[in-house]
Amino acid sequence: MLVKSNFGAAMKFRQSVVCLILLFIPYLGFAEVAVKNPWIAAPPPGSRALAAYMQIHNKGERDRLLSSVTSGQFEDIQIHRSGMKSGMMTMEQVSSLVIPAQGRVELSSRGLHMMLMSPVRYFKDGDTIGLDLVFEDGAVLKIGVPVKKR
Amino acid sequence: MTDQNKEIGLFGYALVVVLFGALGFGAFMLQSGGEPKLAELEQGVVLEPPRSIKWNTLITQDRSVFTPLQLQGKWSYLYMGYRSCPDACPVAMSVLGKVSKKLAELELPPEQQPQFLFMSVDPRRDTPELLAEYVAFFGDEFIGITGEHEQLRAISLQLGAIYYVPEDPKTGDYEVGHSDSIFLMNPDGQLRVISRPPHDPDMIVRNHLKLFD
Repeated sequence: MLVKSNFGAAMKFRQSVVCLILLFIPYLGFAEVAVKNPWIAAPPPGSRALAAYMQIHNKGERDRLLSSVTSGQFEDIQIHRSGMKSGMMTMEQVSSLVIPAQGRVELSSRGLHMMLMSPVRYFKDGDTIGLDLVFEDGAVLKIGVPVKKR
Repeated sequence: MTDQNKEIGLFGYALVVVLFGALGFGAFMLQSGGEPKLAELEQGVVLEPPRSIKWNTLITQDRSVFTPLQLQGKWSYLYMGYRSCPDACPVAMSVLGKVSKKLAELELPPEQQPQFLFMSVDPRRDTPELLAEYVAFFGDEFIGITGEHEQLRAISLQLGAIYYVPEDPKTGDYEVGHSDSIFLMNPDGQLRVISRPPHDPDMIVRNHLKLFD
């Protein structure tokens, strides 16, 4: 009886270890991909789009493709590139972003940025917003991004 | 309209505006009897002599009429953009917000202390009430102005600036292309300094102080 119950406990322990490992499998690749200095600019009142900036590093040996960014706090998130065109600041949507092997991509103001559209509420300095960075192989990198004044 | 057509449309429009702008500038140079001296500043130019601007009737954030009188007796920084602009405009406006704070701390003589204007080129969406809320986010005394496209275009051309707003957008979520310069008018409402991006508050403050050396 005693032996049996010990056996049961060991099984449970082993199951939970397996579960834990399974849980982390989608993130295993992400020792390689890391986000540094993420921030979202505190928007003026009534803004329908917020801009998120960060550096995405890839320490791995292969290029990674960021295919989408999702969050329950926004209707849509797109990657945009601001730039001068015919003397005007314009933006164009970028369908996906390659993070080169052993390299990084910089998202900064007046350049590449994530455009977080139609927020569910007003975000201000001091808030934190969760974003899911979804890569081409389905792997998801979850990050918490602070909202800061520009 | 396909994306490609839209691109061509945008480019074509911009080209026309640039050409008109060049013509206007040429005419201005002839009129003023010679080449204006463009003293170089960090990231900008001082127009010598200053360029007179015909300030058409605009509307301010409190729905009063904006007249050239509001530019008299004060230096005025002006940025041209639109309220739902997620990147370039809030960057430039927050720079001006910092300039305003830094200059206030320097306790300049009142005639050297500037005012700050945001001219929205997106009057379809940017009502005076929304503009008021928007500019207050960047500075207490900031003034939002806008108007009809006819007036806005005429003013922007005189400033050497251009913008593009889609004429018949399918949704309310359209983008506006616009120049990213910051303009400084002298106390006679004439264009005096054009600051080019990327904007930096300390640099603008240094340039501002140079005007009174």
